[in-house]
Amino acid sequence: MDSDTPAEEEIQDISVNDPGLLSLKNAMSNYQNFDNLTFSLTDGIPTMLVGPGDVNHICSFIKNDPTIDGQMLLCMAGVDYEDYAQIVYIIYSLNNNETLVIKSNLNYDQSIDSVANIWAAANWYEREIHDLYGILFDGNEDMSPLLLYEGFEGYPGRKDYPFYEYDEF
Amino acid sequence: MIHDNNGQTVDMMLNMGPQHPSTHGVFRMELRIDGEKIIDVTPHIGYLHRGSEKLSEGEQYHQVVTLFDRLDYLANFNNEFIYCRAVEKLLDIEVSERTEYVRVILSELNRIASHLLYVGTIGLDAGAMTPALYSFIGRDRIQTLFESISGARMMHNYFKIGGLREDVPADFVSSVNKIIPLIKRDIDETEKLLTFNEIFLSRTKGIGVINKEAAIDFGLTGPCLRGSGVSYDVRKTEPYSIYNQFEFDIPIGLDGDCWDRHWVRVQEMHESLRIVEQAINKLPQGSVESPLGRRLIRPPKGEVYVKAENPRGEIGIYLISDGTDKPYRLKVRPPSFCNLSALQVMLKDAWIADSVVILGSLDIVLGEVDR
Amino acid sequence: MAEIINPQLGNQPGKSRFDSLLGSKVPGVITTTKEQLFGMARKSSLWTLSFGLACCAIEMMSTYMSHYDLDRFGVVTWPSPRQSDVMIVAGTVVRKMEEPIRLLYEQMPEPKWVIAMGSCATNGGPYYKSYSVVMGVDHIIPVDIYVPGCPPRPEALLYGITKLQDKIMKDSKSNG
Repeated sequence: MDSDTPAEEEIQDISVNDPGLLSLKNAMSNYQNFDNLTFSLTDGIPTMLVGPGDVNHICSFIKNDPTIDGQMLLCMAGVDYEDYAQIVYIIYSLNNNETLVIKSNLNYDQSIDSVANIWAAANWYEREIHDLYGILFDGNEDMSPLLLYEGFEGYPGRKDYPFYEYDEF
Repeated sequence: MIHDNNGQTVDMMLNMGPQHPSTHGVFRMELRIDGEKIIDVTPHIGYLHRGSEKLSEGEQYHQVVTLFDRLDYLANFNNEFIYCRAVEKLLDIEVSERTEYVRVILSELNRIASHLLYVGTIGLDAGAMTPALYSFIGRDRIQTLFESISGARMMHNYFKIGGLREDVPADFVSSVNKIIPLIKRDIDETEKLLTFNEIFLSRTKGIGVINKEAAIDFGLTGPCLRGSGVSYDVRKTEPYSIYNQFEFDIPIGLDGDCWDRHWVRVQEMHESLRIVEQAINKLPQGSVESPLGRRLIRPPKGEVYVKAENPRGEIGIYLISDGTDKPYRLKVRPPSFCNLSALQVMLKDAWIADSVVILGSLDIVLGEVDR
Repeated sequence: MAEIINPQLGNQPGKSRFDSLLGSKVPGVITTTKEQLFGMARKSSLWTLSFGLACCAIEMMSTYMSHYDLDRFGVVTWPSPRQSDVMIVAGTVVRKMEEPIRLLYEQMPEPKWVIAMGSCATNGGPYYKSYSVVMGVDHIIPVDIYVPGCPPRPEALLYGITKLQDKIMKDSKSNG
């Protein structure tokens, strides 16, 4: 298992001349906490690494900014890197036909901002990530189980949750 | 109406449970109703959560194709297609042109089969039994063709990473050419009973309206988004495989109601048939063998995100590899998941009888929602 | 074994060993026991509870529809458990779904039978390593017929239903 965060590996071989990334940096220069952002590429898609407390601010900035215009939240994924977890947001702009990725690392005892008030699609994604990984989202009142049932013990998405040992008898 | 002691009316909770003839699988809706009008709905999913994403972390890359077959069990070839594309992007290999053509032809035929089943079931939801009987004729025709190619009517396990499991039979071109006019006739026969039928129009026109902004906010894609007037189809905006070589149009609805979504799907069937006609005449010779052979694959460390247009909407795969022979994280962005979360908006102030038609017009598959 | 012999029929069946026994004495009459008669009636009109869970439900629907018609066997799909005889569990059984299945089984009146269709309902199927799948529906309710396949062909489900009809007839004979 890799212990570096993926963003650090990509920064080493990032192509700083990627036009999508440059235009994203340009558009984000109006954001007040610009220095806390780390830019990289994920599979050719411009990516920003943000802290768990900044997620709500950045997402509302992206949604309302006319150049970036992040209207549609395509996907929210939770990834377990053993010591810490990472939440990945994939956002798409219909008018510009551009995809954008936001990543945020956090420890399991931390909680992260919810974006359910920005995109209505985020509501169910956050409930699913809470079911499978046990991450709490501040601001989303409804954290009842979506995919698992009440009383399920453990968080199956994490790497230390075992596979079922099939006994014949 | 339910009256309490003071003569005031209170709401009633009605449970459309996991077993119901019209919930398209195991889906539970708790409706808060005032007489016949729905005030609020609480959807409950998870009755088919099989843990496919976690299971795929314990299987090798070639074995995950069988799990993907069973995700959206009405569009098997489309799911295998996107998974193979994701791993091929990670490995950075090209597939032969014959493979691409066969993949596109089979995916589009599968789209027609999936939409035919939709036409049958929306008829059943609205109370008409006959379109279902007719639509399964067309579906069986396509499934028999699939059986002659891959050996199974449904879970094919036919696309391999880098190619196909084996070449198509020698009479593939002639069978597809023979079947195209028959499918056209089946589609026309089936949807002719419903689309401009007066009863169907009064049951679907103006029902379940969702406007453009709300549709984009909820992340709707596919015919549900196109029915609301947004022209977004992954095959046109970010063409993958060889879709940029074919001519086809994107049907769009105007009002965002159930009838528009139905109309978009019917037109999509005709457009898919156009793509199949163009592709089958240009099928090149060549080999469909995968350049990987029978080796165990260990893709390099990295992440990919690929998109495709499934019959239900836009599917996405976020795949992280850590250099071993099993995926590190495989996240599927299912189209029906987001389509279903918009139910809360569509069911506001609807009658109970309309809730069945609205759910049918979303065309969800629970295997994909719950994974 | 009861046999109907009608001398007015133009198309006479071939001579069987019952002809001398029954045909000569009282024409147009069958004799059987009460259990066998009820068994014949039950097997000829099995109403199934429409209970499709996952992918096998699509093949089950194909079996009901035009190409592989199940209606000619008397099998009609019925949404209510209070009025159905057979429960065809078609698809993966998930732990969240255990209670509804148990409830539905108990709501069905006797005599009732259960067909486990597909490998997921038989023993967990391709999801045998999963954390939330019940390895076979027979952990929850008693099963009479297992139809293997992933998914089983419509002909396989038809064969399973005819086997259930044979089982009903055999059970009715053994009681009498």
